[in-house]
Amino acid sequence: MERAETADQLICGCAELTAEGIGALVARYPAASFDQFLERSGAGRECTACMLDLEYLFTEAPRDATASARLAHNDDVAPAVSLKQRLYAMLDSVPIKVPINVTNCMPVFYGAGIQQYLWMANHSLLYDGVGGEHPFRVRYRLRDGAGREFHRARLTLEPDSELRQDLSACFPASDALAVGSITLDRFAAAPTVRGTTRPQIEIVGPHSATSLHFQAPGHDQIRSSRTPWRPDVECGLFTIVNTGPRPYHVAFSYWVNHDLGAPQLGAAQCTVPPRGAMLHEVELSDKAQAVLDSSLLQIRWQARGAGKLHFVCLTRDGERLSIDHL
Amino acid sequence: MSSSYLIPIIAWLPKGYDCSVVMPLEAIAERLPNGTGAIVRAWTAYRDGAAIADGEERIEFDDGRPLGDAANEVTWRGAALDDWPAEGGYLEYAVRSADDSALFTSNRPPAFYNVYAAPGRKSFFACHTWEFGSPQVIGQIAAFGRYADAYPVVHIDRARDLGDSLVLINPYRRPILAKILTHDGRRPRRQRIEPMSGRLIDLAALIAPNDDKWSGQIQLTANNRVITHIVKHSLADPTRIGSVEHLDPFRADPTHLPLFRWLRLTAGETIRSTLRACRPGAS
Repeated sequence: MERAETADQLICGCAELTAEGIGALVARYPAASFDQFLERSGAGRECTACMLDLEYLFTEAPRDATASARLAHNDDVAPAVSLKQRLYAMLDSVPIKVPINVTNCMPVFYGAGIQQYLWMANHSLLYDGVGGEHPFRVRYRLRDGAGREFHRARLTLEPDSELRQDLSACFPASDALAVGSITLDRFAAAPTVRGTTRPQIEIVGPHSATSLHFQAPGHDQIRSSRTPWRPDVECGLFTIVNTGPRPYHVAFSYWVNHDLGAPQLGAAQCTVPPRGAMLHEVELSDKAQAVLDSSLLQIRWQARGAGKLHFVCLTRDGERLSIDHL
Repeated sequence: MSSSYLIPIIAWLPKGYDCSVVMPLEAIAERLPNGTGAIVRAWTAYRDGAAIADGEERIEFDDGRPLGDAANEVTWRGAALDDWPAEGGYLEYAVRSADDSALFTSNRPPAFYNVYAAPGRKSFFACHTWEFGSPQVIGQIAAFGRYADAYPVVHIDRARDLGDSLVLINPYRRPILAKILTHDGRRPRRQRIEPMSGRLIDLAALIAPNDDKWSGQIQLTANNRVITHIVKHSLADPTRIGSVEHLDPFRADPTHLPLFRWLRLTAGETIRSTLRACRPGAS
């Protein structure tokens, strides 16, 4: 998108706000958040078509430091800068930078004709050289369900390149569906932007494929999700990956509607060994299925330890599947 | 910051599927002071540039619990609509305070999945998308001055019946022009998404009629933000959907931190980990 607004160009027709008006508002309230800016200007509220332009002009508009200091005394939007914040800002201005990484994890399926691939890309923006100009160092480890390490790799993801690694091939052949895990770290070789480097997995079955991006594991979580319950068509499976050195305990409970106090339909407990992974299939008694009828099944879980859960929906014929992080 | 509304969310309405938007009531209650207040939950369904159905419901909360018998989900019964366009439509789902006061402690909608199901077909989840205000998009525009969604894994395979399509939803009031680019230089023709409409773009067009398969990654740019999903489906029958996933903005997040900030964060995480490990009952 080319950016070449003139000062009098109308950006929000509903609020009759021009580019110049946006700049003036930002200069007057330099510490305001984007939401506060929208509230003050009244822009972007009706048709919302200008929202992207507003976001861009809001972030690009120069902030007047003098105005900021002045407003700190008489405006609730501009908070005073504390001594601690000033000290931190000074220390952060030291030009030594450290590469950051958050270890990501995913389950890895193998057996039963399933192949799983790791995808990573270090492409520049619209493939024209902006971003993606530095290599990324990538390292990952594959473990089986018991937490035993099967494979580790160190790779370099060069600028404007992508990699596709067959993870399932690293595990022993199996007729039954089994699950292990991958943990992955990535570091840029020099300061740049993250761009397209978020890793993804692709799971390819005999007649379907699905893909999902990586996420970081969590700690001691209580979560809830809802799913259709149709055991004649599909089954619902949780993959549980333990990324910690201690056992990972997950307590599931099944409900018609926990939030509204409707009945509990069942429960299950799982314990995953250190660095291990397991599959847990959701099962309901006949009586519970009758109570649920055609309502969505609410599944709540409480996890103790470090790890990550995903939900896999697999058709009974094994032909189609999907995976979502939880 | 308090707000009178939660940022509206957009849910795709594909042909042949019911869609349940399940914004948990307990998550709404968490955004109310002391879990108490009255809200209005409103939805509007759009197709081909027009609103075709809507509804709203007032729900009161007291101490974190909804009063009355409000359902957790709003369900669009699309599976039975034979005349629904293949391009699909979309649902705009909004939550606001009943008296327009700044009731909510945050305007960020909670995380949840929309649930899709149809008789005899595999169900699937899809993330909802904020209609505006996404921090990742704001950061992207600040850094690069252009909008680009990126890097879904695309896998077209005639022998295995693997197909992919892009869903582009324009919930705004002016047309959007979108351009798709692949990592190996393929350039499908530009796409126009009419206001308040959806488009379903079959990525099988990326391969020649006599090619068997292609896999790779794509980027998409447009003259305005557009709501994007990638749909994995049967190549022979695109209405047989396996999964739906969102695209990701080309990320402007820095890969390096100033040394002192990194030390602060590392020290904080070390302390948190130690406290977790020392907690009574820690496994």
